[in-house]
Amino acid sequence: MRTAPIGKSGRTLDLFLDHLERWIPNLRRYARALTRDREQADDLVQDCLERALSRRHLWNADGNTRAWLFTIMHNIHANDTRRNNSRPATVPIEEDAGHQAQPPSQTARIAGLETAAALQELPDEQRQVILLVALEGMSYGEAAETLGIAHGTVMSRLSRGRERLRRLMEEGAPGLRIVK
Amino acid sequence: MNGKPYEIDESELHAWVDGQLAEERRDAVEAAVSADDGLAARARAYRAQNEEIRALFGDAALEPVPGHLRPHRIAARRNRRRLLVPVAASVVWLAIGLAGGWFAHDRLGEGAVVEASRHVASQALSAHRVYAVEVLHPVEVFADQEAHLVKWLSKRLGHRIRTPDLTSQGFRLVGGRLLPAEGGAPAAQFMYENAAGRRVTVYVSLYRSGQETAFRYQAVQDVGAFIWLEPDMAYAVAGDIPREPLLAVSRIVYDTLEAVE
Repeated sequence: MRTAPIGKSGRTLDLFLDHLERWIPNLRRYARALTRDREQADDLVQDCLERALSRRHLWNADGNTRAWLFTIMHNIHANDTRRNNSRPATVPIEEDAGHQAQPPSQTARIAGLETAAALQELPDEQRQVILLVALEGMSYGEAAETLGIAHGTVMSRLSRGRERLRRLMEEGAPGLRIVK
Repeated sequence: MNGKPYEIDESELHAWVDGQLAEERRDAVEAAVSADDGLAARARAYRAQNEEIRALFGDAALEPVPGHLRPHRIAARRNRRRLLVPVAASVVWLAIGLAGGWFAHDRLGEGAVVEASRHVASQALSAHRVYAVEVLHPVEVFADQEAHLVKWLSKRLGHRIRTPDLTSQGFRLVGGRLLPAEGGAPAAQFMYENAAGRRVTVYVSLYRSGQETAFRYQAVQDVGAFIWLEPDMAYAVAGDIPREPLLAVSRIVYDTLEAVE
């Protein structure tokens, strides 16, 4: 018989904070892709860190801190989205995606905009899996852990999402055809 | 995708694109892709998607992190914000201590916490062992009378309880029962089952340790349990499933029960 403490003790606070610190660039990047807005993204990251700190006793030093943090962020984002659902959330894709990144060439920029527009056409659940795998470079197992879904569900969402994205790109993403 | 000469799985195509394919399958997938224009076009498109997504959002990870997002700073700020709380709390403790005469319970040492956790764990693990194998009478009240179950056990424990929703982890409620705990105090056990027939039990007991602890893990043979204490309650989640999924279940249970308070 053995009992092992997990987290929560003065000694482990610094270790915990260091672990959080390490994943902040990743959290910011993913939040940027989820919200497509710099301010909103950093607010999301801050909320996520606050919540992580208040749940420090649930942190497992031997576990996957990245997946734990991403799960927290997902939950906050899902709640925010639900809360804001009453308001119409139509952000003009062109303007929005434009200031996110400065890809090297004009063609890359256009391809990027098309991708950004097409990504928005996907259901949240498919977009999340694609972003975790493509942007975050998570293994399928880690993505499953983060989203609290089965490995097979990750694969089917990835497969459906990518295929839908491909179709959208071939047809031309609808966001890009809107001329204002 | 006409007349596939090589059999590969849909998920293997993705794994290949993402560099997550098992080494021994690489030749097969590459052969299939080069023999099938449809597959090749898809793989190309998926790779391009990955690259474009990284080009679009990747830069955000390279930007310097602003001070207000640094964990050490957030922690320090939270600490300052909390300064008043311990003072207020100690007044309450003192009042309870004087009234109840069990002030000594307030501060258990680390050894006592381990002792208390172990004690709760052994009760939860025993209860799990006894009832999780039951086929006919695993619970006293089945989930079809969940509202009654919750009301009854809340009343017996004198503490509002809620049944955690564990469906996201593949477990559904079977039901619950009342159990005896230390010194004639009541405890409650909720049982959950997944599609494979694996069971986990949630154990809640009135147990006055005066402590609030982190999750602790204890295992006896195949059955493991996460235990945590609150000043006058003890909780455990037991099951013969691996530690990680059991932890995931425990977190949900913790969140649910914490939300009730």
